[in-house]
Amino acid sequence: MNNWSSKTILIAEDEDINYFLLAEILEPTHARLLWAKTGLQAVSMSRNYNIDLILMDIKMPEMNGIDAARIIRAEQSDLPIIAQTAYAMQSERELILASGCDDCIVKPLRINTLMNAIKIFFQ
Amino acid sequence: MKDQLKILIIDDNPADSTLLKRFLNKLPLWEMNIETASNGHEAYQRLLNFSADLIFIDYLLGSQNGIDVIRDFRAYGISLPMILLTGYGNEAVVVDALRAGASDYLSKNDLTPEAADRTIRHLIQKQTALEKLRKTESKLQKIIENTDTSLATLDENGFIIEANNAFLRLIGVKDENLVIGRHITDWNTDPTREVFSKALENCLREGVLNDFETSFIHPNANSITFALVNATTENESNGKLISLLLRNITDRKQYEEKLKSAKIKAEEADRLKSAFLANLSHEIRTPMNAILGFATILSDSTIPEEQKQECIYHINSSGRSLLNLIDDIIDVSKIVAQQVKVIKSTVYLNRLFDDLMLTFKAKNQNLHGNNVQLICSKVIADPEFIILADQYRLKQVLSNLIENAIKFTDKGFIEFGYKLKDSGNIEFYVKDTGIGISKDKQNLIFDWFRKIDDDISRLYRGSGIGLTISSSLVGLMGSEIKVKSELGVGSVFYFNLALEMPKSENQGTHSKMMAQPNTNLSWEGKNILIAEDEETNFKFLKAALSRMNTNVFWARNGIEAVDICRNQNIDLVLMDIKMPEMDGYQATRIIKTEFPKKPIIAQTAYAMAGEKEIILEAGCDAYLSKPIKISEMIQLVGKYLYLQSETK
Repeated sequence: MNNWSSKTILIAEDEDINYFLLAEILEPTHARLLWAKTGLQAVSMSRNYNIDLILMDIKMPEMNGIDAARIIRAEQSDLPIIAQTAYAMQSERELILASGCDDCIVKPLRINTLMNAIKIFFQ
Repeated sequence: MKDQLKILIIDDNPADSTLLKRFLNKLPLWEMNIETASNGHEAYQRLLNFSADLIFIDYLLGSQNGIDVIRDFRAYGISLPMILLTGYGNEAVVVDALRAGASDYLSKNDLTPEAADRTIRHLIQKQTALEKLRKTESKLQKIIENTDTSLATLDENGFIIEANNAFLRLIGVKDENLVIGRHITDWNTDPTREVFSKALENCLREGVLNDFETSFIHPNANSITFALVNATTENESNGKLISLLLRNITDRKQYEEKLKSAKIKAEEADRLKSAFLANLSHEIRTPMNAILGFATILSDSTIPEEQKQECIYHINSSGRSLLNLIDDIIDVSKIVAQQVKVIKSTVYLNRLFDDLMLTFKAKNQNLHGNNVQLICSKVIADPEFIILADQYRLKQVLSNLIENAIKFTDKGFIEFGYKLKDSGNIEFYVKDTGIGISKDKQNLIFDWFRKIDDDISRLYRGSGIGLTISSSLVGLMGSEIKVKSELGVGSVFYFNLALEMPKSENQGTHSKMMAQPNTNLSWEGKNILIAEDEETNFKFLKAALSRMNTNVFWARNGIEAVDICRNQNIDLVLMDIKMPEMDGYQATRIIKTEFPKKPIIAQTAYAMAGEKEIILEAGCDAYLSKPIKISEMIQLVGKYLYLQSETK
């Protein structure tokens, strides 16, 4: 089992239930979790906390994940951002990766896919 | 027969006149009709009644001379051929005479029949040709005036010298005087004016302008006329002229514009539809994420019971929101297919509001950490207050609006209720102290597909079709949902319906209609056939029915269903529609032909518009839509078992 107790993961997700799911999945890894409910909150938390990785939803109120990723990427070139979105079309995926996200995984999330995507950045 | 020739002789000397008359009469080719006058004035008077073909004028006319007469006659517009007769020693005046307008001259001194004959013949021929030309010219002029093609002549600076009627019509001016001397671009508006001027400059250089498109503004009507311009230039003694030929292409242009805008609309609709589908995919995947994710966690047998319950709770609630989404999509399909009808019945309004209050209280046990208060405001205290309305749709609209308010309100209150207006209307409203909607977005929120098209950000949570459905439904009720909102302060959604009271005799029927069918009948020993190709679905139905002590039979397709009906004493069939080999429609038709009284209840996931009619037409007595609610199924099955036992 992964032990990420030294890591801080920021989850940007506006749907409560989807945050709970990620929290449930990540709980056994003991990673410290932070929760932003809008893109704007994600940007501000990325400035105020020492974050190791961001799980970024795309469709969010106030500021979407693409704009948030663009801003965060401009300020921190080496902070891994993994988009997690229900947008499943190729054109959307291209838009998301162009914004500076390092990876993009599509909802419904598969637990293995998610864990493997994170693991790449934590090794 | 000789040609007639009418001649007028102007000579102040009667002897000379007679002499000339006699001479002319002798000419062989013509039959002469000769009149005489002694001076210019007399000749002019004579010409009013005598249409001469030719005039002879003596050079010496007493106080006048012939050249002056010729000049005067020409100035009066007399175009007849005039021959000057010159005498001895005054041949030198011939040049002056011709300049003044004389057609030819003859010398009295050597006047031979041959010379006279030749001169007359030549002049008559020339005159005939001229007249022909004049006729042609006037014909042309008439054509120009009456043609539908607009014609205008400009000087080289672009000022109008002449214009025909069609041109006046084209630019919408009645009087020619308002056009002559004006610049051709006076009727253009700004961007086209400059372009047209450039084109005319070009035309002067190149000598031609082909199919140039421009537009003129009608001075009064403010309407635009589109014209196709062709032009050529001519060199005149005092500069170049531009001949314009303009065709009115307004109709064609308008048609083109219409086509263009129809095309843009179609493309827009297509784009919105694609965006709608992309968004729908997103909205389906979102609850699926929770369902599949929590189901995976649940499959781990080592997790504690408390966590299991939490997973099940999340799966349930996501499943429900998925179902809501699908119901919304079905409503959209029905509205688009115009299959939604408003069915008015007696509505106990206060009960409806109590019901809404209960539902939302139960759903939102602690609304945003108890920061939001839910208020139901009923202005009429009488619990039996009734109106005539479509209960189901009214409740759906209000639910949608309340649900929306809950989503966007973190603190303060949500108030919903109704007011009676002086106008005889009843106003329904849902008011919140939520995030509000900016002015520019207020119109967009009711548009089909619009919200999702807006951008990838969330304007509203959910598929965004709840509001458009509500707006369409209220439209069907003959009203319109309106919104007043301020960013950061809150929103009010409201609509007015005409207040209708049910007729008194209808009042009692309400409770009867709502009466439950008798389901107390014993189900023991009843044989129920479940036609269902999916094993999971069969097991679910079997589990539900077994609790009622019934015997359950299973058919995996339509053929098996027919077979079992023939060989077993089946009391009721639960018929799936989509099955392999033989579908539910066909199986129903066969069973109903052989056993007309056997109750068949369809169970189907196709809850689309029009589906219900096809199912009932195939012979099914009722239908249940999947996912099936156990209580609903038990009630419906009980009703038909009861009805059947009564008819037996």
